[in-house]
Amino acid sequence: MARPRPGLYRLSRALRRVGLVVLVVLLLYVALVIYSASQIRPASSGGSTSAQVDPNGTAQLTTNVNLSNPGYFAFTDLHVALELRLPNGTLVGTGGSPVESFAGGTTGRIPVTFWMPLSRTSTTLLTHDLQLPMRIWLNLTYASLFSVNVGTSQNYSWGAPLARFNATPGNPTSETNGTILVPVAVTFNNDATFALTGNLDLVVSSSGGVVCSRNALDVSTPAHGSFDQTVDFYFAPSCSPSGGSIAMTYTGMGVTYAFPTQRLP
Amino acid sequence: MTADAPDPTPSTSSGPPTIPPGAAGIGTPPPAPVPATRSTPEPTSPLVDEAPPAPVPVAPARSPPAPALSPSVQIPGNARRAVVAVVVCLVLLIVLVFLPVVLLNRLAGLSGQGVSFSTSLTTSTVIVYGVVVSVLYGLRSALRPTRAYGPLTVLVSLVGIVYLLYLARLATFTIGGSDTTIGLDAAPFVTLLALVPLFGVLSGIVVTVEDFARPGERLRVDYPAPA
Repeated sequence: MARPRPGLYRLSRALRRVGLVVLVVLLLYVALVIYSASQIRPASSGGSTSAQVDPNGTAQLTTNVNLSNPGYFAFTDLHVALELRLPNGTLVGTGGSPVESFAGGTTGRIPVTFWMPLSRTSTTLLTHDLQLPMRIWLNLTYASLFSVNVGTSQNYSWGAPLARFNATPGNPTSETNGTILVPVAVTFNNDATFALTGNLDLVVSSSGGVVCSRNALDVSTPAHGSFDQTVDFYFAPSCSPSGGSIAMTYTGMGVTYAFPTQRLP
Repeated sequence: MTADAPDPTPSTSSGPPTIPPGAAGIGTPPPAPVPATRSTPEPTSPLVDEAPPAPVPVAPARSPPAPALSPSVQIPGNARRAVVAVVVCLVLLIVLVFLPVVLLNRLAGLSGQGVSFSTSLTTSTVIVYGVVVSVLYGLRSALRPTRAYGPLTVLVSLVGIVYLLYLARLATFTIGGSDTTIGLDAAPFVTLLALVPLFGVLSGIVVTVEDFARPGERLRVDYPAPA
């Protein structure tokens, strides 16, 4: 025959059972979270990448990172942060994404934007294609209870807008009016993912430092395009460029960059 | 807290002693009927806080009738409870100490394979807290028929809560390869786990109140004598 159970006894037993149920539920939840997390695949960069340079000389590149969340639980507070450095360790750019959330069983894209002040940090970026060490951090909360952060390193291929810039003076020739003509061939490749616009100011000086002639070129080169133009300089006989130098300055997109002075033969 | 005392109602069987309700040791037992014959009962009962009145031989015809509707109580012997306590303790040591320490050591050993693992949680923390909790649970199991059961339940649950809250501060794990690291912060989950011993605290309080307010009541249900 079943014995009657006192009220306090039943209460204490019920409390213990509730605790046990909570424990079992939490353990099952963790098991489900682990299984669900095992379904997640690494994010891949995809879609269009856009690039532009602000008037203040900051290159802004935006790409989309594809993310698939086939599990049962949501990603919340998902945020990507990144930084770019020169090979010598100098910080040249930072970026990130807005804070996003992805429900379980969905795929989506996270827009990641990073900014590189071309003029302020390093003008090396204007003229040199580089493999820039990039550090990426991804922070998210999974299943409301677990904060996950992933840090990874990659190399970012930076294409310089004035890559392989060259100004090659030609042989001087005497003109009929007594002036001397020196053609200077200006070539470079725009390896960047954005178009380059601006102008190029060229100044030829004599060996004594006297400015003999100056000229300017409009520059408009699409992304991954090349530039090849010849500028003719005319010198008065009194100002011989022989042994002098040519100075070039690029101005545009918020950037002013003086190339290293080249000696003339 | 507990005092061994002679079993007030020796059973005629060879098994554990059978105690009528009210004589279970939690509270003042009423006079119990004493059988005319006496076998070799468990010499002691761990239940009592106050010594029950010594059994007085009374002629069977004059002894008060046993409460026919009230069930009697059969407390396991000391040896059996000690064995159960040791088993409980060992199981908990395996779950709370052995397995976590093995896991931590395995993860720490990954560094030899080019994978680094770091956590604020140390094996000594796991061992110390795990041993304390396991021993307390074992002790609680052994003292279940006594008044100490409720307070011990509260104590062991409080220790569990403190342990889990302390663990929550350390529950960050980082595993890294050559160029990728993954960090996990399980603090919210571990904090939530502290709900489990919180219910233990509440249950222990209720048991304590019950044992002091209605002595022996719990034992009738926990240790019913076979019909």
